Amino acid sequence: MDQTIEAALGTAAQLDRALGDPMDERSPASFHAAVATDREGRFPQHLRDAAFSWGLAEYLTPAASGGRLRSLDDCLALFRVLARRDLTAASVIAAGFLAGLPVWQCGTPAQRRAVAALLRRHELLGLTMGEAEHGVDIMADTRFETLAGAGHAWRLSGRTTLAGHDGHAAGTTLLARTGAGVTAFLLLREADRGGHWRSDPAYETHGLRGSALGRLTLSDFPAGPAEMVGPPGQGLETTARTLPVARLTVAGLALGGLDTCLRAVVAFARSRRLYGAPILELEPVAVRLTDVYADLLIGEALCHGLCRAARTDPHRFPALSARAGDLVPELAGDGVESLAIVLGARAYCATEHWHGIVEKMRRDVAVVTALTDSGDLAPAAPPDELPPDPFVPVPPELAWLGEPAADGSGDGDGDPLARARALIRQEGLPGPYAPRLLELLDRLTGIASHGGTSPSPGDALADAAAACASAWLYGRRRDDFHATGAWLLLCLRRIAVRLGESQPADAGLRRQAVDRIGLAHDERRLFSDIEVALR
Amino acid sequence: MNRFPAAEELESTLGDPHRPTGPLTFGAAMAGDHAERWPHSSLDRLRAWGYPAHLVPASLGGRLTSLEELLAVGRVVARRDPTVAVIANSPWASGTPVWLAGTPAQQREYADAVLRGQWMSLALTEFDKGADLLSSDLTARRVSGGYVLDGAKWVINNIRLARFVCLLVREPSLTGLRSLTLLLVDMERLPAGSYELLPRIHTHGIRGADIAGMRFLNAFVPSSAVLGRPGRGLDLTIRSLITIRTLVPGLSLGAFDTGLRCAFDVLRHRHVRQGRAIDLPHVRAELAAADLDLRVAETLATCCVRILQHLPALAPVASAVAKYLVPHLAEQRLRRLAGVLGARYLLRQDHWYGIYDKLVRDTRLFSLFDGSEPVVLSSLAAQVSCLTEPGVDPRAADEVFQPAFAPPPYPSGLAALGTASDFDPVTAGLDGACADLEREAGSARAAALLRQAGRDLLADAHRDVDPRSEDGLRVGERYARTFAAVCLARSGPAHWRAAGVESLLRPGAPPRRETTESLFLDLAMRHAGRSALSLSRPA
Repeated sequence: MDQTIEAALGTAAQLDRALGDPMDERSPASFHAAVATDREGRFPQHLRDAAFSWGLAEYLTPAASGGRLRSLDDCLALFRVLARRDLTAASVIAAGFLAGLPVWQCGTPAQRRAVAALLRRHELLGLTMGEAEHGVDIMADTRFETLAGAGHAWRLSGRTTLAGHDGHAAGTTLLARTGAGVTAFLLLREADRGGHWRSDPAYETHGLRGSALGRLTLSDFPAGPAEMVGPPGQGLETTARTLPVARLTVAGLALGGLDTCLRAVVAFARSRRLYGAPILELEPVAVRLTDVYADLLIGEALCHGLCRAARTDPHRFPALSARAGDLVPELAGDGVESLAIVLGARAYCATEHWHGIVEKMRRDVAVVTALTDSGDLAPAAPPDELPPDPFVPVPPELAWLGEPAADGSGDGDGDPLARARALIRQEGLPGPYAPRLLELLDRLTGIASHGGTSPSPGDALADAAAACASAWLYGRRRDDFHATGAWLLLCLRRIAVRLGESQPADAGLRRQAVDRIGLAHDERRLFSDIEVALR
Repeated sequence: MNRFPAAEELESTLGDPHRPTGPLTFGAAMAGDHAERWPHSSLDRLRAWGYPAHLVPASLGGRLTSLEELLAVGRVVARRDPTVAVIANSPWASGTPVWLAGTPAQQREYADAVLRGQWMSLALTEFDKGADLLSSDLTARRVSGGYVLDGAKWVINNIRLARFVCLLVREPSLTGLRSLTLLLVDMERLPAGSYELLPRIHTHGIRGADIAGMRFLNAFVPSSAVLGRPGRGLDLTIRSLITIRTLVPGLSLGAFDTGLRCAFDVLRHRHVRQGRAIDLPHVRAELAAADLDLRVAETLATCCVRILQHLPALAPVASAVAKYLVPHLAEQRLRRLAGVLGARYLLRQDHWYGIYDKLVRDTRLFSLFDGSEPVVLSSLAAQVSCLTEPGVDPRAADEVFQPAFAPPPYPSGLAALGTASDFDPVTAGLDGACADLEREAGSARAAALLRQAGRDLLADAHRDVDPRSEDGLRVGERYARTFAAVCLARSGPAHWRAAGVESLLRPGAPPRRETTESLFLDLAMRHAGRSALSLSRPA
């Protein structure tokens, strides 16, 4: 955690407040509207319009290109609060953002201006997802035709699936084979003068029902140097550089969905009585809620750690993202499943309890999770297999965002697990948690430094532990929950459990966590380590 | 395990589920799901085949003698459309209190109605009451010649179409555990204006089913409607639920079967990195692990349904084990396979009419209804002390694990069915099962795991555990997995028995590589046919 993160969450809170109360059925950004449009398979246009009216376009446009987007922290926070309303709208906007990334990273000034103008008109790019037949295997689909004697001029033909609302994206970035290899292009629909761009009826989908995957067919679509993004033949490398941001974006979406599910289930667990008492007082229910809350905090810490790496150590960002980026959607997916068990039959009824938003989120989070790397078919590439970046030999790789903001983290350098351990040993902690924390920190430090050359499933959890330690070091004086180490213990216990190490029950810690969950719920704050007021 | 001509005949009669149209095809299932439409044509097709007769005991004019056969028949339907299976089987499930405790006249009338194709309901739940049946608000005041009903039931399948409703009511004049009574309400004889049917409740899965509520407004029902004895409704309800819970796994198995087959087919045709997705090692491993789970679930479901008929006194344990593990394995595995399918999972028109997502949504219901996961795990934790009972003879369960099984008559054979088990001859056979495993090459690790699980469980049995606590739920899960592992060790085929035991006792751990490849190849060969993956698999 640092000041940049806090500022980003502050901006996101402004957006959330502008969108109104999600429980107000009259609001276009309500849960009721999200479920209603989902049932009808409609895109939640009103929510998108409301977000853009607030000024979202500026935050989708990097500062270096005249917008207000200065860090990935902004993206993460904004997509998180949008997703907490409706993952459908948030995913489409996120897809549009990701489709524009190659332009911000490698595009010409004219291309950047074109995309910025498009966003300011409240339009979005569509994100190509490959042909249905080939999935994400881009080498297997789009084909090209070179105009004889025309130099760097091509006519693009081929089909692709386009993630963008209603199949009417204002443009897209796509890859096509050219003589030099695979090249990236920015194509704007408005440039089509002769019916070379055709949008076919959208695929109907199960989750994200209103997001409508469109089918784009290009027939001899003209493209020249003005449309080319990055050097010819470097399309794969250009696109690969968007993957770390894509993972982070998906993680933000998943955190937003999980936030709403936890909020809805907390409300249910307090009001629903069984055997003469609220079910929140049943130990298994309290355990589930606490575990999900801890997972959410872990996911948040991990995401913020990635954002911070993007700012301070951009060359490590892709590797860290590849190692740990998929863990957050996984945590969210598991969390939503666990919460659905608490809701029981309510989760199954389409219009019960908060209009059935939990089940919609449950479906949507599953889909978003599957989109991280398009499923297990494309496992995260080990860092050393990431494509080289010969055209940007000097960092920062994320220069497209503009100048990095002041960090202000103040938590120093080095391994945060080791620093947390040293601090606890030297200074001690008020309360009973120091011995248990030290034990866990020792154990997790051992896992983090296993030194293996090949990626292991524990890597992501080790990174998550380090991110939690880092967040705790930054915020340890925030309140008693942090000062006593309870916050860190809550997170590290969950990580240890995911590593297969069972943890002894701790009713006191659980009670504190449940109280914090209740407080965040009552005060309408994001379930976050930072106090973010919502509507 | 037994083969069931009725199930195979039904499968053959229904034909290829891939046909573009027609009853009980994947296309019809998806169209009905999309429109939230009652599956008329599919239900008509089943009725024409004679499905209702398989829901009525032979002693009452039907063809039901073996619950194992009912499990297989339900699975045939569920693999095509779980919604149709839930609706089609509901007359049997709703009638379990009638089969167990109805008077001859009640049984006769109910059976005749089922055979005529009429629909029935089992109305237990109320809004905001969940599993706490004793807090029911629907009251039945005793008056001359009968009862007057007031209050509402909620989330009841078929309630708006039902001829008979088995209704759980609270008698205000009674208290405690004996305050509930079950009534068999004939909707045709209920005075007009004395009840109202509440609006249909939309659900995320099983969307074609008609689920709603009903409110009684000073409705009179005669004393002859009482099922069993007044005030003993809770006991009868629990015994009925035990019976139903044992059969629910058939629905999960059908959905799991199709989900696995569908995923296999999609991945077989999907090309990535210049090759087929199915040739990627981790894809093969996922499919093999799913197939192993399906086999484990199938074996367990079969054993537990046999226990219900052969050892009804153990059914309170066995039904909870089956109701927890089989839907759980199906649900978890389908969710994992969805991750393997990736973005393809999103598309509705693609891969087998988009049936995969429907299966994922539908199977979630099976974990929920008639006993959610926490409820059945608590129930197991509450019974774990039966393992401390001395002198239990494991041979009492031998017949359950034989390849062929001749069931005692149904339902009269269920007379010993209680609400809790006092002894457990299945788990009592753990040492013998371990010894058998130890004699098999490559099964030592499975045997060691099972022995350790047995020791841990026995320690649990001697502890004082609150069944509703987190610790209680963990004990319940340990009991379920150990019980299932013994069933598997005693009846599963040798070539995957050890792998199955390990997967049960170390959930989430991948099978060994050689086991994975062998399971995958077996799955690929069986996939060549289009019948259910294991409907007639020999033992």
